[in-house]
Amino acid sequence: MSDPELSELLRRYFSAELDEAGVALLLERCRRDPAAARALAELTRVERALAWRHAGRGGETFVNEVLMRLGPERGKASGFVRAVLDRVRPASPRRWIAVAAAAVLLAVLGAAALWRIGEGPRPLDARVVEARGEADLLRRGGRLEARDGLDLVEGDALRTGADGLCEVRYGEGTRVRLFAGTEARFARDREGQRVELKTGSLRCDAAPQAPGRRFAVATPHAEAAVVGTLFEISASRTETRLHTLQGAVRFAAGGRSVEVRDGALSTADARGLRSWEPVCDLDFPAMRSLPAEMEAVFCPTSALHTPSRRVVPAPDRVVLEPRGLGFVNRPGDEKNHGLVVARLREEVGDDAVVEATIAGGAPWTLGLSVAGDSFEGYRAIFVATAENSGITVDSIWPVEVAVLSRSDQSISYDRDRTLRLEKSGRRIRVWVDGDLRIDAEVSYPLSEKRRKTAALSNFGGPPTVRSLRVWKRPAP
Amino acid sequence: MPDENEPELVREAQRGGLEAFARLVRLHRRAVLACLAVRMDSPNDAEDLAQEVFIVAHGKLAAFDPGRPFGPWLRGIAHNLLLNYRRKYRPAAVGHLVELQAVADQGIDQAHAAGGEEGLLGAMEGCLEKLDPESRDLLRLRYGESLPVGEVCARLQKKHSAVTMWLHRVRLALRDCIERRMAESSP
Repeated sequence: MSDPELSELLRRYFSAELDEAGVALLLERCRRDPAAARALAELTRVERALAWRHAGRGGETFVNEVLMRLGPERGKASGFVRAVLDRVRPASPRRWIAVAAAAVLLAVLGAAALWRIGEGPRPLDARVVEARGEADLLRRGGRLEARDGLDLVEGDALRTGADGLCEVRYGEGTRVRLFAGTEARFARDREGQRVELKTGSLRCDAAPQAPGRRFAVATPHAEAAVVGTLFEISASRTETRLHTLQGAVRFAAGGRSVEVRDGALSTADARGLRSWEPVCDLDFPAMRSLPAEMEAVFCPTSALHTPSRRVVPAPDRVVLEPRGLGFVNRPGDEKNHGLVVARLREEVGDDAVVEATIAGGAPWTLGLSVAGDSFEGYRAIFVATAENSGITVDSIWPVEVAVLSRSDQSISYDRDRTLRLEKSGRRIRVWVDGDLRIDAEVSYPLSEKRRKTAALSNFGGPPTVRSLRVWKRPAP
Repeated sequence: MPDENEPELVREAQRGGLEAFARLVRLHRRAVLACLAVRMDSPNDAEDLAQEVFIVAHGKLAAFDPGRPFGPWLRGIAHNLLLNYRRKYRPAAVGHLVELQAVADQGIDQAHAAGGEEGLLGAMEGCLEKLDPESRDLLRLRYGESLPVGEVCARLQKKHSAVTMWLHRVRLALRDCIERRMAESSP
């Protein structure tokens, strides 16, 4: 190649050594110089042809697999038996022998197909190290129960059911844990290992990658690329959410990318990328008293919906127990019953995400608030009792309850639940265990003078709150 | 690959003859695979999609006119499935890398607008034979065993820059050889 600069760019591109600036430079060259674009296309073609040439399956294997795949859909097994019979053309008394021969042949082909499900041509150096509940391995049209010790090959997908869990470990140390209701495909591209998350949630603990390599998790909306970090990512039909637990993740969508650092959250959907920075991440069972960034306040029922509503400090109404944070309330006792609120002292702004995990095993109710505390902001009231179940988004500012949205879909209290309330502009969304329950636009006016904080609240049926995480919009 | 009995094979397959359909798969497997392999980064995905082409073709066989050539019809199905695959598995456009891949794909589509992918793979086989044994070994490690460059360096006890430069030179040599052979074989 007579152009040394272009040759060097192409060498680095095909060695996965080009950084973003280099990629931009090569793209610019290709745009203004047709010869550069042609060289890129020709070398890409060579690269792919080389990969295919070294990975291609045998011709008869291909044909047999096509025939086997045709089998179950149109009684094709019997069609294939007929094809074998046509070949054999036995005399009538011996036809049963031919039928038996065809059946044996089918059994052998079936066994061969199952054997192929068990071992693939291009290993990924990744192995299932834990599989619980409903967990399947999908390989080239076949399905196997996922089990410990199963080695993955390129193109494999794992799917977990409502009670399933599956963990994969790569040779270089990276761990990928698929939570319930998740489907992800495992692949490899020029830059390194790649997981394509179709739906659900996974946690990725990525080991440091070799120079020029990265570990990527792609979803229908975005891609997260890392070189050594811990993060959780979930994909639904409309949105991808990334939460970095440790390290930093390059999160990209719609031609834009952001670095999501420790504790931060980022979402991607058709409207683009949104970033949230962490305010707090509180693990209540590890605490003996309410953390300094929170305060407990109370207003009795008798004054709650009157113009004389008065909110008073109530440190003894929020308690830390071995299982988590609890509320002290007295339903039926007019003086001692009311709205107990544990709120952040800090203002977090109009837009925020509040996420709490509630211990299962007993009925509970809990309010999460954004854009103000539970007296002044927007609340999502979650109810999980034997009599009632569901979510209401409302506000009790200035006096009466103003219901803004509802979901009657039930919430059972048989196990721990993760509740999330997010306000972004006028849009309020509420999830239970990652399942979107409310998606509403709200225009109900709040007090101009309110403190724009976030809070937990309880009016009865006290919950045990295991954890609280709050994110806010980064400063512009 | 055209075949003088192809229309008859198609008719037989339309009557439910699986043996005839298997023969059609054998005839066109390599062309369909080549068409997809040069357009997809994952060779396994290319094989899976090629199988899907024949599954779809089998399902639509009744509507096919046996008087028409079978290969271009399969090619059309392959292109449609490839478009669906890209929609499904490619993430939303992310940075310049995806644009760069789009430039490469566009160039490949233009070069093979009228086919010829199978000839390219055939030409490459001949070109690989002309490589020195060390370079063939390098390609075996990189593509046959799918080793990252770092591991190839360790196996060959060579520096990273030396291996990437070597790979680059081999790719360039293969490209030039393939172009030459394809030009020689074109009418």
